[in-house]
Amino acid sequence: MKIQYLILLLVSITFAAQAADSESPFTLPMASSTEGSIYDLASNWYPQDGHAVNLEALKGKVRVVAMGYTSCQYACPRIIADLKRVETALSDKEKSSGKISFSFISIDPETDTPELMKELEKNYGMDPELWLLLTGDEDGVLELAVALGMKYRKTSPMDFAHSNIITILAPDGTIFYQTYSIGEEIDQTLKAVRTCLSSMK
Amino acid sequence: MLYLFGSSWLVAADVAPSGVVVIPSGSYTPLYILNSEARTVESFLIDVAPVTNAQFLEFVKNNPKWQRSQVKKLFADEAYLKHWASDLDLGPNAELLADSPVTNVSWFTARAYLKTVGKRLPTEDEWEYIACADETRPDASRDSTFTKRLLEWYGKPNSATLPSVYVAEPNYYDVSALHGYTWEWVRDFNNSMVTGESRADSGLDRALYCAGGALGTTDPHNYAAFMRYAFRSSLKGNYAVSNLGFRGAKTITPKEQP
Repeated sequence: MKIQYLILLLVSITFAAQAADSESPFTLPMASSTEGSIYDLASNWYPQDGHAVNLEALKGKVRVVAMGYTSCQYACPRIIADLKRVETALSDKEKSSGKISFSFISIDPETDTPELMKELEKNYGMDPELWLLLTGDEDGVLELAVALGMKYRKTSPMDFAHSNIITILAPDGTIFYQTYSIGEEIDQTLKAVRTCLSSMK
Repeated sequence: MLYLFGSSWLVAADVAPSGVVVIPSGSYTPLYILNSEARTVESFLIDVAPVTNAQFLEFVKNNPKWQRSQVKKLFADEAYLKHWASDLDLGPNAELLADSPVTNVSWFTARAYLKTVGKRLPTEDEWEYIACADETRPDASRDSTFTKRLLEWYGKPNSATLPSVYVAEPNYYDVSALHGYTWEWVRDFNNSMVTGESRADSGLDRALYCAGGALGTTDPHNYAAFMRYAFRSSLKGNYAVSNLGFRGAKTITPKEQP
């Protein structure tokens, strides 16, 4: 009996935690020295163009980030579409400010080579000035995914089950905003991007 | 002293467990997917005991950025080492605490510790594989007396101070305190019960809950394992929890293989 209660409790804690996650648009505080930065993770990444970069080199811009994999049929195209909608909603001035970048980061580094990421860029008509498509090594991917609260599991040689999260990173690498709602209104995400951009003056 | 804890997991060990043991390769069948196939686990090295408070204290002494007052919230939340009196002080129970498994540590801090000793966290497969063993058999997971002991422990509240890791009875592999002390971080804890809105995700949830439900109605064999998966799925990398510790593992490079 006791055990069953404990399991119920565990399961309900899990769901409660998820519910809280999915409806927390602006609960994450703005950069402060105690929060910690994604860029403290000293992992190496390979962009669709050019040379390997250390995560730290990505400091200094507002980054709209999602993780997935190129052969993903269902969720990832929707996540990318959401990022593109945010991009489209920005003014030319905002886009050319050099202060913002969009990133799709692979959770399948074994398959997703920089060349495949380059193909993704072309297929989606992404502006390489604005889009940084990253693939890394297995441990770096795991660490970044955990830092972003991302869950994933390989379910077959080609497929992953994974959570869908869009994250906005402040220029210093603190997590400014996260949303778990995919394929819905992007107003909140856009608002968060602009709030973050305006803090950069 | 031992009798105080009144648990069947504790005996006086002749030799204090230290170092690592080689775990032979093998396979086990995980619980989380219905009709799941056996998974192969390659031979690896594992710490015979969880990392203790004394060992972790030494680590934060040498690595100030991982001290309680210095650590960033992204990597360890407010509960990090909350059972210590301060950054470098175990408090009035220091003597008791020293050799008991360190808890209230996050996944990131556990990894940082293990990096300094040239180890890594065990994977979920590795951990579950050796956790199937009881004192005499490599796989006791289908034996109800073994699983009942696990469930009894899971149902009991934690004692205020965990017993020393040096009094735990080793299991078949000479690994101590996998059960009966704390739950332990695994490297890929974030693969448990994937959540989110995609179709694939909910499929995975269903698989887990179906398995749990089925086990519940027929027998309690792997209830204990189910609870571990459910617990892991509720964690985040910066969570520090009072009944969650860790131990080190190491991949065996081809050169080291017998």
